[in-house]
Amino acid sequence: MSVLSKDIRPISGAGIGLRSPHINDILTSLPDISWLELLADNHFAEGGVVTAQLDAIAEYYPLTLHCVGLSLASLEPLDKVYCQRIKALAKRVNAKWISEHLCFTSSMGLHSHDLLPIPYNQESLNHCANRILQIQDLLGERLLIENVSSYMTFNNSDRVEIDFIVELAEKADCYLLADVNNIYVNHVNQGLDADYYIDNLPIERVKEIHLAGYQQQQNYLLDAHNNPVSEPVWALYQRLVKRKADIPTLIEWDNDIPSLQTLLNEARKAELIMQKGACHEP
Amino acid sequence: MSLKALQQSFIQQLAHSQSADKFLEYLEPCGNLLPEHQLAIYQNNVRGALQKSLAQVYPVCQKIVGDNYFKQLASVYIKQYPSKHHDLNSYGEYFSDFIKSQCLQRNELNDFSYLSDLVQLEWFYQQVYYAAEGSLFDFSAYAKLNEQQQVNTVFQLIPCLNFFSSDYPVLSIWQMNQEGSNKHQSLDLNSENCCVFRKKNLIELRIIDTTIYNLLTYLIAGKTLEELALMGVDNYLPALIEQGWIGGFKVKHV
Ligand SMILES: [Fe+2]
Repeated sequence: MSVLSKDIRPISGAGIGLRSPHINDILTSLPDISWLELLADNHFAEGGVVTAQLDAIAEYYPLTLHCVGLSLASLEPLDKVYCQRIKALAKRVNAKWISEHLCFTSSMGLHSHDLLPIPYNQESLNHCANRILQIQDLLGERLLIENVSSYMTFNNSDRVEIDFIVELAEKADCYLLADVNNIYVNHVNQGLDADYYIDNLPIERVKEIHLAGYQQQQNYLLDAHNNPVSEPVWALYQRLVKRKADIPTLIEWDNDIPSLQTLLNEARKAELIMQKGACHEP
Repeated sequence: MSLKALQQSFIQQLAHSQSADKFLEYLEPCGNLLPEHQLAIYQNNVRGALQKSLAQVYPVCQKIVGDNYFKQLASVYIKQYPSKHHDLNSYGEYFSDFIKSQCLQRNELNDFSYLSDLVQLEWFYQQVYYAAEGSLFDFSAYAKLNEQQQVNTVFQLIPCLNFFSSDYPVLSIWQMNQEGSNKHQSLDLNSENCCVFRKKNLIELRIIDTTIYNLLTYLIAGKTLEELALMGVDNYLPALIEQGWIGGFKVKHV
């Protein structure tokens, strides 16, 4: 455990996503973990054991917040109650930053609880940029926007994902969260050029990287977060780290959750790559 | 198609699985995935997430009817009740009513008329699990009220408490189905009043007698101390305060 108090410990190195099966383990053994990311939507409870445990975790570890319900690409009015809940949670656990996905999760009052893609064109760009600006205003800080895995191609898309994201980040003046597994999944499923993607990320805006494992389906990859990070994803990660070595990196694992040690081993692997990258950095 | 129209069409395909022809016109094949396959992946993901959520809220119901049958019930429910809230923990609130209607429609559920109440108990359990903390009763503030104010006092239950009455021994059935339970004796087919509450982060489920059940309903209805005294139930209040079920009060202005 670092001797620095959590308030001055920065988010650096490789962290892991906090998942409920590990909470008791973490609270009893206080393992050396650089940082933890919370799934904000799992922590809206007003009281009870989940809340108490989270407060205890926040005493020991620096935290970031990861959301799935801001529905930032949605044409519905912004859910201000959700925004306020996020803001209150971020304050309570002293979250260092808040991230959300480039997608929508609600329309016509219905909620998908799944990250739904949008076409990459000018209308989407204008809408998403305005929406991010509006959310950033409400939260009083810049958001990190994450690229998603997509299993759908819209015929009114007129640019590739990374070009859209570059323009969006500029227009909304937001940060980015680069999920390397999602890039790889989209490379396999949609044929996007993963090297071009990595090389064109506006690196100074990338404040966090996600690594996760996919599930091989019969004729596509599913972003299931239920496996170790795959070799091609590590290779893409190396490519990204060579551009900038000190971007905080997170291991995400949501289904068939393994032991805490397995996650920490994956995080250690990422840290070793970061260290190597630091040697190569121009 | 505008972004708005596309999102509406997309979400309707997920919520109601309506005829997808129009929506599919806006998709292109990609890699190995034809448009209908692309949509099916999302339909699967959404159904999977909601099924998983229902299974987490209703583990005893799932255990009683079996995993596969529960999945079947869940997928019918999901079609009838798409999610209308960003918080997945709010999903499934109509499952008890739904199960009641299914018990009337499905022969194989004829012997499970208690299931709807059991599902209600599991829903309350989940609500209590996530509810706000109960406050402690402020005796000194109460002592400062004058006599007139005291008779007009309405006592407030803590937020992490729920109760209901069932024609079936649902709490006993719930307990029998907990892991490690050794309760296998045959049940009296008695009705049960159940109370679910949280104390120091632990959930407790308790059978309550009819007097206490009635008192709780009066408290919810906002009856004053004077009205409770007229019904002869005010003498049970100290016990409720002592076990932390009553967390506050307000004086009703008459
Ligand atoms: Fe991610």
